[in-house]
Amino acid sequence: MKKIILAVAMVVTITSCTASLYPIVEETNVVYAREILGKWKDDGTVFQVEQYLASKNRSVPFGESDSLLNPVTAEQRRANIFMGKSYLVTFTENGIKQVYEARMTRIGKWLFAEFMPYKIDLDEDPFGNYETGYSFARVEYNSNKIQLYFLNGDKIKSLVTSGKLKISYEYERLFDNFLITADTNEMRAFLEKYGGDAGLFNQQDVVTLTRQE
Amino acid sequence: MRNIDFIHQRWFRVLQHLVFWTASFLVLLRIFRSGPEIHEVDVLYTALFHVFLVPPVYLNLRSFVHQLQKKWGWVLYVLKLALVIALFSWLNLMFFQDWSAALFPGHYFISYYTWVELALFIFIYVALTTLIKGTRSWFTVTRLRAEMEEMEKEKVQMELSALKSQVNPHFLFNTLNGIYSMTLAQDGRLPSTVLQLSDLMRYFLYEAGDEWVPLEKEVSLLKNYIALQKIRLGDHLSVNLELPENLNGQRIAPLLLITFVENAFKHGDKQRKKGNFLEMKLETQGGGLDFRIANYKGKVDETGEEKYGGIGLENVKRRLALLYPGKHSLAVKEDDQRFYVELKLYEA
Repeated sequence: MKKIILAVAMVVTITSCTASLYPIVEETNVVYAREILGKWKDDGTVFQVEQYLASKNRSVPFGESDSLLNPVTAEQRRANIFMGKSYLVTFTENGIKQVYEARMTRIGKWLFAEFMPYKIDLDEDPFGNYETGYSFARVEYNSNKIQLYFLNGDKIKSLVTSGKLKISYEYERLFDNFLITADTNEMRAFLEKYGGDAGLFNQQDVVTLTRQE
Repeated sequence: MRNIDFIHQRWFRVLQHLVFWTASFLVLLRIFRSGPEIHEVDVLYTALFHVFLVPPVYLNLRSFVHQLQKKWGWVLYVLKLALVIALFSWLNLMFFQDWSAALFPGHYFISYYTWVELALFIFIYVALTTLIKGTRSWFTVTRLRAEMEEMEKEKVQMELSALKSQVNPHFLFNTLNGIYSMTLAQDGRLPSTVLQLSDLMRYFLYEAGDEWVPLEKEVSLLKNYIALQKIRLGDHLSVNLELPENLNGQRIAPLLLITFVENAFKHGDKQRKKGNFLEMKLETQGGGLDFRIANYKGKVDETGEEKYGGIGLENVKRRLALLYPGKHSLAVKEDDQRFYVELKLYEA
């Protein structure tokens, strides 16, 4: 069984989110919106949204310098463009600074965002390492407000274990860890069909960000 | 053959189909399960998936595949099959990706395969079931062919029996005529003649019914027959027989040679005082034999005009064709004075 000890910060920050082993955004369908950039606020927490490559935290994946001796390959260029359409979301909660890598994509008539822990400042990591997973949210935004409807992890887990929802998964009973293992295509097909399902996306716990400046 | 007749009965064919689809369901259920355990939704999905598998399979088996028998029928077959596979792949895709949400609210599933993958899925099922049907048909054809061969064999046996039964009365009629003549003449040789006839009858009734008999017994029959005829016609009748002493346990179809001897006596010049009335020579070579017989022409001693050979010779020809196909040659020649027959049986 795969090691599915998930990002602790993800659980702390976004309750009831669902971790997926595979992303839903690929080079061919990544959507970039400049108006998302900036500072956003939810209650007392400030979220800093930056373009990935422009952020201080960035780590360009491949060949930053294009030299004759070490030219950047076409594949690396594509990866860099992909990362150029990615965001870094930084915020501090309960004294813990958290950084997420985020991207957006359009599936059917909806816009979705995927989040993956990028860097978490924890003094102690009891497990030494952990496998990060992707969290998905349906996104609705305008120039002053972003609403994130996260996929309801508890509901997904409940439906899967009760035999009502069919999606590839792994479940580790000892620590009650549930991980969606559907590949990108399957996950996108699922979101295309059920992206508007009120039962699968948190309606009460919707994260609403308002522009701070 | 009879104890496996049930495999061709309708209930067994239905059972075969049920077993196939049950096996298919269990295999696909295992493949389609989402996690380590099988859930209700996996069962429902697998069952619904079969709704789009079964029609193309039976359309192919019941309707399309028969067109392959026609010339250029495969063109139409391929077109129809491609259309049906494309249609049901699309229906599968649309059902699971769209329509199922309305038809099965409370159950969440999608189409987990692309249109091409679904088409390949259906194609594999169509190919597999066509192969099974082809194999089954091959077994049926083989069985029918074996049954036809068996029937043909039985037919030949019946025909051979009928032919042999025509030999017996023919010969007996002639011999009894001879005994009748001896009775009128109050011939003293009558008891021994009746005894010889008894031997002949034993051979006819108990031994000539076999498919094959020792050549030795057949030769003995010829000798007894000639002896009986000489008693009937008189000692002046000169017959020259050249028969091998050792017949090496060779076997022959019963009552094959007697017909030629019968015909020789029937049509031969029985009043001839000079030279041999009949000459007969039998040689064996390996497993084959060479039989030659010749006689001078004379007056036919039965009522009615009958050409040499008649029914008896036709019977022999038919029996030779059935028992020695491609392994014999028969030459019947006739000139102003004599009849000549040569029969060669080749080693099998």
